[in-house]
Amino acid sequence: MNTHGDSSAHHTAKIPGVPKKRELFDHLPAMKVILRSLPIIELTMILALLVLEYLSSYHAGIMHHLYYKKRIYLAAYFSGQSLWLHLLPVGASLAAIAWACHRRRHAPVKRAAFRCMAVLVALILTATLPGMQQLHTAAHLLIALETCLVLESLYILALALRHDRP
Amino acid sequence: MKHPATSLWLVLLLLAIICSESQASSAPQLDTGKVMAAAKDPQWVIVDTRLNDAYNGWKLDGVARGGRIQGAVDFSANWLKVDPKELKEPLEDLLTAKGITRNKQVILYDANGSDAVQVADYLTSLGYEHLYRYDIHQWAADSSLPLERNVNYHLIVPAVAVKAIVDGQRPETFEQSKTIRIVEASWGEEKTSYAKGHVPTAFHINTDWVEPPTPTDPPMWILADDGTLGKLVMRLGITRSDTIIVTGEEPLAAFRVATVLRYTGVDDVRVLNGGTLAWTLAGYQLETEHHEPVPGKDFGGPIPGHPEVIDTMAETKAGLANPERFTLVDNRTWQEHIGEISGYSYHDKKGRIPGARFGYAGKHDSYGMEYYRNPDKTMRNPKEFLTLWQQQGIDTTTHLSFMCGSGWRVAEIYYYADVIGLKDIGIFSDGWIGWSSNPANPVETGVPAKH
Repeated sequence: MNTHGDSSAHHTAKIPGVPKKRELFDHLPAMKVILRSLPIIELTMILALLVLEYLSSYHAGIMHHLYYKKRIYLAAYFSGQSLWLHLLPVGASLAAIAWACHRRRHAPVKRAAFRCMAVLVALILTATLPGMQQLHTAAHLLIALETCLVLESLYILALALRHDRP
Repeated sequence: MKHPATSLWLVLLLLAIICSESQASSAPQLDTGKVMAAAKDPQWVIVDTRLNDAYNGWKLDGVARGGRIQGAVDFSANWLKVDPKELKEPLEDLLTAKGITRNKQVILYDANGSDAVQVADYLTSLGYEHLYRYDIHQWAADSSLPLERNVNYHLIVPAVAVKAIVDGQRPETFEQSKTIRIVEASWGEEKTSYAKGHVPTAFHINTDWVEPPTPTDPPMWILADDGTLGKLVMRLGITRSDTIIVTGEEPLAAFRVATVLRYTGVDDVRVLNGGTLAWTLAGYQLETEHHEPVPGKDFGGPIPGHPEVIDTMAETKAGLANPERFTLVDNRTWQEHIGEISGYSYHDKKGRIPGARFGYAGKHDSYGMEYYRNPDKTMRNPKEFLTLWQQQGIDTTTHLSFMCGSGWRVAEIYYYADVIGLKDIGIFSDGWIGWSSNPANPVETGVPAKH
């Protein structure tokens, strides 16, 4: 098993007969692109919400729409029985982080675990800090962060598949 | 200037300047007798080119009497100053709608010797040939000649009058005012509009203060309860006997706050006609300095002091049951009226209140007021919107209850109705959003049957 990171394709195929452990998605280039684009996708989502939050303090139409949607989302997805649903992404991320800690000697795994934890912390802060809850995009932000959490967990899962292949 | 070529160039330049001036001034000046005769001739059209405020009745530019020549249409030189990108419809379309066509003899009158020239230049550029000018000072000086003006023209104030007040003077119609306060109304915190520039001395009123979001699902931005309004006027130091002039970048917000202050009990609430655009078009500077209102101790009267401004849900339902004496005027877009759209991203109910008459507002969205405004955001010629009302069967002898989504658009229309002297008027402030949020209330959609 390679212990020097995932970015050096030149490590592969050096020894004839040794399977390409690090190139799980060689046959799926689109998947590789998606995995590498994950941070950009996540940042774009968060930045878009920050821009909306900024605009909502200048445009009544945007503010009213966000306020309305926030109320709907909070009532539909962040109250009562729906709250249990949020254990899924959190649980998945915790499991992924646990696995990553177990495999912490791999640099890409460590990076992925750090990113996943960062998203988890951001989610917890958004859900608990009063200042964050005042944001017009608070509900949108929670949904976006949970989406990021799922994506990060999937990313760690992909790494697991790559590194744990025989 | 010894060189003959230099002299020749200077002479040519002088001639060019004279020619460009004479393009406008070539429109001959008419005397009062000719204008009186033209007023009776359908081949002539008399056009008031002054500020909309002068057309409404204000005595501007030193005229002896305020008002307009009977039968005159309006096409203000001020409209030519508006950024073409801001125009809701081409000025050429307005000319046609007002009957100012190329085949007519057109008399352009003003009081400052400049407005008519500017409009004449514009019309000349469009190919109009039969243009004449007239100085309304002559007409106004002859008290035997009739002048027409809006009954309560004082309710919407020209920028020049507000400037005089800022400078410590008391212009016409303000002579009896005790304390005059200028406020700036806009949605949101000061940074959204107030901090970018406001009429000097004005303090900010956030429209959310008079209509905070309700805790209902979905939320509504409708008129606050009387207790909240009472606390607000105390916090702002406003009393019943004050004269308030509401200004703002967006006239809708200014009129909304003005109607709420009237309802609360302030007797004399006026609005800057055309908003801060009127101020800047007049050549005045906006200021960015913050002004903090001094809280008061006593409003000086009951709250609400003028409950007749607002028609409650119960009053509106009772009125609808008595259509001979009550007309609910639906001042939304046609698409909202027939139920194609709700008009609001935060409200999904579509349709209209059964019995409501379509009363126009904007052409495209729930923030538009094209049917009631001139290009410079001032009040439209009332004859034009009264004609629209007539076409929709709106009987102005009944109680007119104006409604829109939640009270913004109708605030402006309510004021205009008051300006032209309609007495039995009110605002169904809850509007479509308030009505349709109760599933027990009946709703109609589709094109209404011909009245």
